[in-house]
Amino acid sequence: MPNLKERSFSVEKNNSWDEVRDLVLLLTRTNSAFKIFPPEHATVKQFLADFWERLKSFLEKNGCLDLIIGENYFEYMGEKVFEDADVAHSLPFFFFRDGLQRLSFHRGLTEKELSLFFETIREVAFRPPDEADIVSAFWEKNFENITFYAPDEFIIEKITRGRPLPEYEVNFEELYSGKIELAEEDRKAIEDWQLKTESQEDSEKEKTIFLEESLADLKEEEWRMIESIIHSHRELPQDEELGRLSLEILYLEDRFDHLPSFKASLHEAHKALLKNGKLAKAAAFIRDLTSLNKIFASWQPQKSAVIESFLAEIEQDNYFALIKEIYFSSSGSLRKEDWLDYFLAIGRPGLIFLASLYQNSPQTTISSLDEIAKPILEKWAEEKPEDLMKLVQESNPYWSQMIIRTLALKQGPKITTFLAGFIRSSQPLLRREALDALARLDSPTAKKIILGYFHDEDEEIRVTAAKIIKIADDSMLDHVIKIASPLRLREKKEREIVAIFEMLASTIHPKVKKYFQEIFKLPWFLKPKNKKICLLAIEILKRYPNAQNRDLLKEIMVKGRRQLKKYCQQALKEINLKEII
Amino acid sequence: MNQRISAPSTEILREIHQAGVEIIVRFNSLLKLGRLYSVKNVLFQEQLGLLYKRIKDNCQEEEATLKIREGTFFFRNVRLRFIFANYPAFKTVLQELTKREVAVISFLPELTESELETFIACLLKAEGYNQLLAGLDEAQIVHIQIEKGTERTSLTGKKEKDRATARIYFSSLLHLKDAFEAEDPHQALRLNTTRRLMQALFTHIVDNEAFVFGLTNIKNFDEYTLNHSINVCLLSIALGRRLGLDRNELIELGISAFFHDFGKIETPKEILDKPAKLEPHERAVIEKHPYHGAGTLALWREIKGIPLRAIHVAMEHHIKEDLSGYPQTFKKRPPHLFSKIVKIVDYFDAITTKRVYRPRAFTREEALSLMMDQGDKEFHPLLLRIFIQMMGFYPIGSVVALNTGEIGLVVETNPDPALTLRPKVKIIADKNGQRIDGPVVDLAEKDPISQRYLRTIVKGLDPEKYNIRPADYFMASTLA
Repeated sequence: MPNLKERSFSVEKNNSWDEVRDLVLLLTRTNSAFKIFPPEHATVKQFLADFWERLKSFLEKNGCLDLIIGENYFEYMGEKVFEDADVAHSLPFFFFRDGLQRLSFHRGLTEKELSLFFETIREVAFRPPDEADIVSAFWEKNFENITFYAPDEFIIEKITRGRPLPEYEVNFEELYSGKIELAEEDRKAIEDWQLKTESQEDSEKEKTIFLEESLADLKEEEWRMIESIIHSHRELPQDEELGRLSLEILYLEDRFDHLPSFKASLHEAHKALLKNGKLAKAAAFIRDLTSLNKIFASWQPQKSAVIESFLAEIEQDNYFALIKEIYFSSSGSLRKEDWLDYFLAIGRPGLIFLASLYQNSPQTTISSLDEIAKPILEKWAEEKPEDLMKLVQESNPYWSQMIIRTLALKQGPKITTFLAGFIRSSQPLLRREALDALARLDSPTAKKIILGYFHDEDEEIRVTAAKIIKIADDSMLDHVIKIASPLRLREKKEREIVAIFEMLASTIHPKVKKYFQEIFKLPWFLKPKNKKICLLAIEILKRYPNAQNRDLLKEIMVKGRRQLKKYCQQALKEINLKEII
Repeated sequence: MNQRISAPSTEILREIHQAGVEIIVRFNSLLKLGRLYSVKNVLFQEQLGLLYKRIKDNCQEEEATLKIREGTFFFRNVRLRFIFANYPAFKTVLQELTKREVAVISFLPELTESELETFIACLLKAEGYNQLLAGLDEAQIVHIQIEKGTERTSLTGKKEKDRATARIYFSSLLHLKDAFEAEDPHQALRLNTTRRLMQALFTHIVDNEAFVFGLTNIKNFDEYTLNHSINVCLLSIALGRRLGLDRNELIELGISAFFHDFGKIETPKEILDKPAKLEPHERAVIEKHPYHGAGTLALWREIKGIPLRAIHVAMEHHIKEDLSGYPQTFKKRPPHLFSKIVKIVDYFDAITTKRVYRPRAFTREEALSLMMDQGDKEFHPLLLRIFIQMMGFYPIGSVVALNTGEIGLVVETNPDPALTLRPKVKIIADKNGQRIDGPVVDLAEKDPISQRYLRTIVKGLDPEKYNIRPADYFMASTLA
């Protein structure tokens, strides 16, 4: 009868070996499945479940599956149970190369723990060789029911690389022979003690006073304090600490030849913050660095150069790739204020990144970018409008539109010239934006520039131009009348004609009156377009019933062609009726 | 079909953890009481009743197992994390079970109190696993089952264990020396190896802590900075373990302590070893080593994955608790926990080491006393107290005069805080002062008749005054 108190191996070896062979084969296959597929894949789950079932039953029966690891084999109770000489795929070799010599699965193992075991192997297998160490990984996991053994010799060999270990010499003769003559005070202390044996306890009590102060158990609140210190240090955000330390090191470093390499540390710290979506912290990091730069400028220009070079490098492509990734993967989870803060902190690169985000964003998400861009652009428009003007790109219309919109809030000849440039833009969006902006400027030049838009290829823009233009002088009027010549009108659609007529009908000027008189002279016969133009003119004059237009309508009613009379009469009737009402 | 069982809630896990910790603590009390009194003693019975109740509560439906894996306790599949207040109990129970190669104890639902009492009595009597098994068999205990540990190797002999520990110690020295002396440290630093080394050191600390502490008495071997760094690394890991840091944290703490003085590579040797008081400009050079070290480690971080905490420690290990010290940057802020730990250990090892500029080193107990006197300005007061608790009133390696006239070397502290003054000592000189290869005696041992302690420490002695090199005694056991 097996001993009740001990759960140990009680298997019959021969039967067990076959079972273990199958089990180990399944172990390696499950491991392969973990390497090929992600852990949640059905194949992996199936392999794991099968292996787990078999292993569980084996462990229930035997307590432990204890495998010895050879270079390319697993051994169980002195017998090879698996062999794979292909070092690229061999699981035993994978273990062996890191010095693992023994691997044991114990009763109590759970499927979760087993899955973690395979995931750990997978994780290590995909690491670069320099960083891969299965023993370290197992050790750190601290499995409950999987144990392993890797001898110290492996690590010692890695360190010594054939060299002897430093030798510590002990002179045994000196150690165990000769005499120690105690000094007077020490000898006396012992003698005094021996004489006053009764007071031994008192002496211990004296020491206990010290002990109470220094060695006494910590009180509960003191434990809690320690636990809270540990906890708070566990919570310390590594990225923020890295940033802070980098600045401190830079502040103190006096090995100037190290500085160029140290720039890489600054980038690492900065990128770490960005990768973790800590834009406000990244902004603070840049601001601190900028403040340090001011301190260093006259004191340690070498450091200043490093900071400036670092800041300049932020504009580089690899940063943009990172920014883009964060922006698009965060899907709005990051606060707009933080983006704003960050882009403001990094200065010009912020504008470049924003421009690129505009270029890469689908139209539907542009409005959220606008919220970030607006204050930044306003700041730049205030401080360096010229820089902003240079950033307009035909190929990035939404971004350029924001720049135009922002700059339009400012007045001045430079802005007018800037806006004038868009008259030839290939992007209708930009031409329209510039047109709107020009209309808002309190400048005669701007108004004249708008005239140019009457020739725009886009009807919409031309209509807008006609609607917004304010005729300031005769020359402008002449220009408009020229554009509105019957010949040209015939090429235009109704809404543009309406817009032009509205603009003219609201302008009181003999030239306008004359213009309409000429319009009403247009022959209708076989010219339906002319008829339409004339009728539109009457309609528009009716809408703007100023004295000039009334006179004109009356004049046509009296002197005009027969076909026109009734329309003018009707129009005047409606005007009168409106007035009566 | 395999049935998946949903994971227990955090609340349940916490309860199991609490029960596990209490079981260890009560188990420890019973082992202590069992050595002093009969199992029928009232105190023993009181503790037994409490332990029995706790176990029964946890094995009502199915067996409850207490496991030891790689120096860690698991109770009902929950890893038990000790806090330093329970450390002595954890340490003692771990030692007692490991000594007898017991890896698993399963308590079955039908367990009776009398079985538990007999089990503890058998455990106290048994020297090894087989003896315990035979005892349990004889007493017909059926509701407590044990399993033998399989994960440990054959390093069971003390001498063999010590030798292995010493080999790792000197390997660490060589590894650090490689990093310090390499023309191109980028090539020399093999952090994977360093991590593995830290794991090995941790394992030796768990298995053989007293000897590891003994080895930290090795001073000025080869280069001071290297030797010092290894000692600081070992004691820092041990202190971190007392604080309940997890494995990864301990590895990072070890690496941080290992490289804490890395900046001294840049400090000219003539300044480091100047046998006189340093001039202000020389002191300024010395005081650069924290940020030189931090700067170099920061450069390595990207290439080699140096933990951030190592940079903290290199930078801050001379910053005092009141934020004075060096280096001072543009902003005062409290140092990292790891820096506070390393600062304590660094200070202790430094002042207990003889240097050209410090002809007389402090004895280990003097050092602790001095550190206590520094007050809260220099060290974190609670961390310092835990360090002192860890080292004991007479730290391992202290030379002591006994009331018998013998001279002893402290080789193991007493895990019971009440018996801190009664460590285990190796007798190195008899009552006539004759140097001998004496036995290791437990100062907690009492005369069975008079109930008086057999030996008591009268005072600590300065080893240097008597040409005693404590480290030699520890190393002797590995060389003989």
